[in-house]
Amino acid sequence: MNNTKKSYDDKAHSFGRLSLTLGFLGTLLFPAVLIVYFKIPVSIPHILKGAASIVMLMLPISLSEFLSIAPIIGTSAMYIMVLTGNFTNLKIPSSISAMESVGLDPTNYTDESDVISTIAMATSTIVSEIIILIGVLMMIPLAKPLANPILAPAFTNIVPALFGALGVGMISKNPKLAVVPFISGYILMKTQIIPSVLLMPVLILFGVIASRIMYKRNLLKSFSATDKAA
Amino acid sequence: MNNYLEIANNPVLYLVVGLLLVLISWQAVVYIKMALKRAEELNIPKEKLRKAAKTAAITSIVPSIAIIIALITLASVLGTPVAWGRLAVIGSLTYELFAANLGATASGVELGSASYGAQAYLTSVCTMTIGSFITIGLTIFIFKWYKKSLNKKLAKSGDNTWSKILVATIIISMYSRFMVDPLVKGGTSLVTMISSAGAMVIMGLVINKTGAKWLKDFAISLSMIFGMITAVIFSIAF
Repeated sequence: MNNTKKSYDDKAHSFGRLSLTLGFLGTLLFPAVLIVYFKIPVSIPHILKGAASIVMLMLPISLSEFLSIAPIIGTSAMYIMVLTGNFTNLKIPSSISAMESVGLDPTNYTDESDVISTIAMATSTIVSEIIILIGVLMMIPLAKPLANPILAPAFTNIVPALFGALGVGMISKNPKLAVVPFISGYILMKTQIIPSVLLMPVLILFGVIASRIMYKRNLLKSFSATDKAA
Repeated sequence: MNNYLEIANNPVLYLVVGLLLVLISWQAVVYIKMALKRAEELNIPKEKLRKAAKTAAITSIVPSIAIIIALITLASVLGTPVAWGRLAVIGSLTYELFAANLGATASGVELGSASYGAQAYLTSVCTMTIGSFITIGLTIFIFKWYKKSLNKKLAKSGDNTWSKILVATIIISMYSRFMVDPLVKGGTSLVTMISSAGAMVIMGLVINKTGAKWLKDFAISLSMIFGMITAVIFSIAF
């Protein structure tokens, strides 16, 4: 059994690395086509400036996301998720509900849940792509009514609508974890002491330090029983 | 129409999207095949696999519709193909908007404004692409080693409480960043967030009382739609 597990794992890693490399090369085609085919003049200083800010912002976010999601996701599922994105709004919820539907505990990773979550993530990817394809085909007839200025506030407020719905469940389940990031976030944003692009990594850092202190002082006992992150 | 949008919606860019879609479908199919083979080795019944796939498919429907809404938003500033390709591969609405906006700022203009031209658009697309390499790079280069050392550690201690707390804290902190924004700004965005959260709470109560589990899959999307309708009504009224 151990040998078959090892070869399954190794294959999953090798194929995952290959598909991610191809995926990144694929996304490079967008700027490449814009530069080579459309001959848009490249402004290296602007691109370097943009790259520096995105790397500064994304390095702590991606690193903390990577370090924290990798332990709770199976090998193949992780490669599917990284290639296709939409972690918290699509992939993790669908994988968790698939595991629950067949009576598995999503926080307790076994060989069986590895297989189930792989099937779930892959199915979710295919279904999602088909729905988005239909959506894009419908965008042409939909574009005009959706461009109506009366509807503009609906689209400019998508982010608050999403985080209102996502946040209320997560925070009501773990109110103690939310106190420090929320209060510090409010103060930092109101006073604008730090640039807003740095706000997220700073809040994650504050939040993790506070949680670590609470965990060490045994203030988060309820966690070992029921939490389902994401 | 801004000049850059003519380029941004050019059919040539749709070819890139097609290629990316073929790639992710291929990845999904190969992994399904590998998982089915592994399921046979582990004697997992086929029905279980079918049920898991069915549940995952249903759960994916409404969040995917939310992605279409995101796509429409992104497409208005970045053109349909780039918005589609980015959201299908690696991306998410918040990241792409962030990155596109950083690219615009680096070019000294505002995203989607009259002065946002082809060159600023290219800078946005480059910024989005460069930023997404971090997660991909981490996964390609250190995931295998990290996963193996984690499995060893977990097998030794047998307790994953802290890892659960850590994940929940990181997610809540990310949410906080977006939730304090409307709190500070007030107005329509605050009303939208509160009404969307309120709808979510009410739906949670309905699910608990009636046991309508099917509603669970739709709760986030329906709450979002409710919040967005409230935004429109609030803007008309005030």
